Amino acid sequence: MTSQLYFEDFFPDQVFELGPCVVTRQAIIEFAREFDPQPFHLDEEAGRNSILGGLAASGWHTSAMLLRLICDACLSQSAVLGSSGMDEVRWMKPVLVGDVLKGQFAIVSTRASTSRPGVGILKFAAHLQDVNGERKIEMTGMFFMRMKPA
Amino acid sequence: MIGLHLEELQIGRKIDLGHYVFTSANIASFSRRFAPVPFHASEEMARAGLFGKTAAAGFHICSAWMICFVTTNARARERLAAEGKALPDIGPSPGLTNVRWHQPVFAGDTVRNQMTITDSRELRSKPKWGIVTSLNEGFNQRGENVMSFESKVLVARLSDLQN
Repeated sequence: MTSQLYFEDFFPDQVFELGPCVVTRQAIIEFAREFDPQPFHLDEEAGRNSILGGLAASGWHTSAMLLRLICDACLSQSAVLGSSGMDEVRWMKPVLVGDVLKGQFAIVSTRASTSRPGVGILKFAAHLQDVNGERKIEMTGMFFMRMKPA
Repeated sequence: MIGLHLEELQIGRKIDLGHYVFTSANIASFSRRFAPVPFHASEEMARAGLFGKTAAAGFHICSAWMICFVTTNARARERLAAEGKALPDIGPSPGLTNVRWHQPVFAGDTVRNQMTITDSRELRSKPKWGIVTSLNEGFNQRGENVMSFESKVLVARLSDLQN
């Protein structure tokens, strides 16, 4: 898909499939070293001995993975302009080495920005789950999206 | 948390977590891996965007808060260990609410991070633990609030250790 998506191309209940994405040991440790160097994100044994039950991705890493999969599914080919925030991020279960994640990015509502002409606001709900259907993360938030040039 | 037990995390207490310096290299590295959208990835596209130049991804700003938190927490634990004192554990966080990116963050910006305790309560179901709610914020070198979010985390109770 190379066509550019604009605000007008999104509508409520539209769903983009996310993944699959394999979570590697290297990716977990690399992110943790840079942003969340707690033992259960860096070391197999520390992970096994923790409440997380294994070498687990930082919640921030899982959030960033979800963002990346949303980019791959649609945002990278869109006229997205950014976001002012996420209403809720829920880390429901630990993301462990070898997990294969899939999910959905669903548009909840669309409206024109009242303060920025030519810009629309997309509200969304997204999630990732493993192959057993166990949800790992849920996120709700918004993106600014440029409208089609007149 | 930060070397403090539940009983020491009074509502209103502010904890300075230190700062993180954003560079064109770390902004590009994060955006390339996790936010490969034109306005983060390309100077040219960024010029036509809302901010006029390449800004850090929102989750990069949040992750920068986290490294400041983890570093501050680890230093506090080392200090307590050196004094032979008990180390207050923290549990996993169930997540975040009201993540807000108030201002863009650019290469060259220094963001100072802090947390403010907004609620602290004992857990009937887990006598060793309490739950602490905090407002977590980052401020740039001009003192502008660039990012905020609320989070909850399990924190060990002091009273339990004394039993």
